[in-house]
Amino acid sequence: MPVSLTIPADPASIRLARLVVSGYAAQAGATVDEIDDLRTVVDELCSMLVAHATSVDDLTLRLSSDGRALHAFVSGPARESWMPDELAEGIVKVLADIYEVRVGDGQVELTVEKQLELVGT
Amino acid sequence: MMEDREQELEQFRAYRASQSQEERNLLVQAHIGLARSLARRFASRGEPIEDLEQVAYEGLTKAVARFDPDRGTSFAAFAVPTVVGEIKRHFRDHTWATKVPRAAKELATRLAATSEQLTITLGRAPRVSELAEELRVSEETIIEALDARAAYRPASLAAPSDGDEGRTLEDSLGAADRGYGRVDARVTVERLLENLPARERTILELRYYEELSQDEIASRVGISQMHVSRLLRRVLDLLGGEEDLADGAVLPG
Repeated sequence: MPVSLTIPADPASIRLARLVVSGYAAQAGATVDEIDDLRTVVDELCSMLVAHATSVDDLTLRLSSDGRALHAFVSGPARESWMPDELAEGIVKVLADIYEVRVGDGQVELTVEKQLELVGT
Repeated sequence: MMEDREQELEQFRAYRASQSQEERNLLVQAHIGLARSLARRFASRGEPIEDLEQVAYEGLTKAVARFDPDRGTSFAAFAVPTVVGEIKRHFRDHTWATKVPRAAKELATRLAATSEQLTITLGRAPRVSELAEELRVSEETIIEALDARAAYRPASLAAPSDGDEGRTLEDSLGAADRGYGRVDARVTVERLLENLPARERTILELRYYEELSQDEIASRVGISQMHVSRLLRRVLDLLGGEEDLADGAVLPG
């Protein structure tokens, strides 16, 4: 079942996103290592948006899983200066299987997919 | 910006031509901030930051040695996967044995004791921030530890066992004299299994649920028998006091 979370676009709130992704991934059957990876990935995605956000902005995190993979989607307002961070993107690309960026309609949307190992199934 | 990049590529070309250790060290030094920054990203996973930085420097050194400046990518774009890969390998190979007790067992025990102690000194239940400060871990770690306590409820006897269709834990009760002890042992193992990385969990399951020999496990998992033995030993040490298990007693399947 998909889950979504809206948080203020500030660094302190990213912790909530991390906690939610841990809980969600655990429920989806992810291993401890995969949960750590997903937490780092969501942290980086949110940070990329927070870096260019203002205090009134919100970020939306959506999580879904089809049992084989976990999808995370983070969106926030696209400020004029928004550019993906090279280091953050590098990390995300290593830790997730698919990474996509979409900028349009004043929004930045970052999507990742991570395959799950599915132990014991 | 473009000039900087071109200058950087020139330095790499010079190093590739000369293979001079001095030039390599200069290149490593020039990008040490990148390695440090990547190591910090993994600091919340329960390993000392100094160890992670060390691993990141090794990854950086490898990246410097392998980077081809004429492939059209920047050094950073090439180095990040190498360094992150090195950090991930470090977690996979070195940390599981300490991660389990530290994260799940030790912290849960310390959390309970600290919580009680702070309740007395504060005259009220402590806040997460106060526990985090006292235990010198992040607030996130405390919240997760609080949440993990819920998972430590003993498994219901009537609930179907995992991956064992229609069978319940109750069905696996043996003769009256040893049965209860065995269920206790199994519940302990299941709690432990929940916290293990995939490979260790598989090994433990193969040994105690499928009753395979260490050799059989080694060939199935693709590691040496010595390695299997070492991993099992460490897992059993975590059980502490469960002598029956350490002696190799087989659990009801």
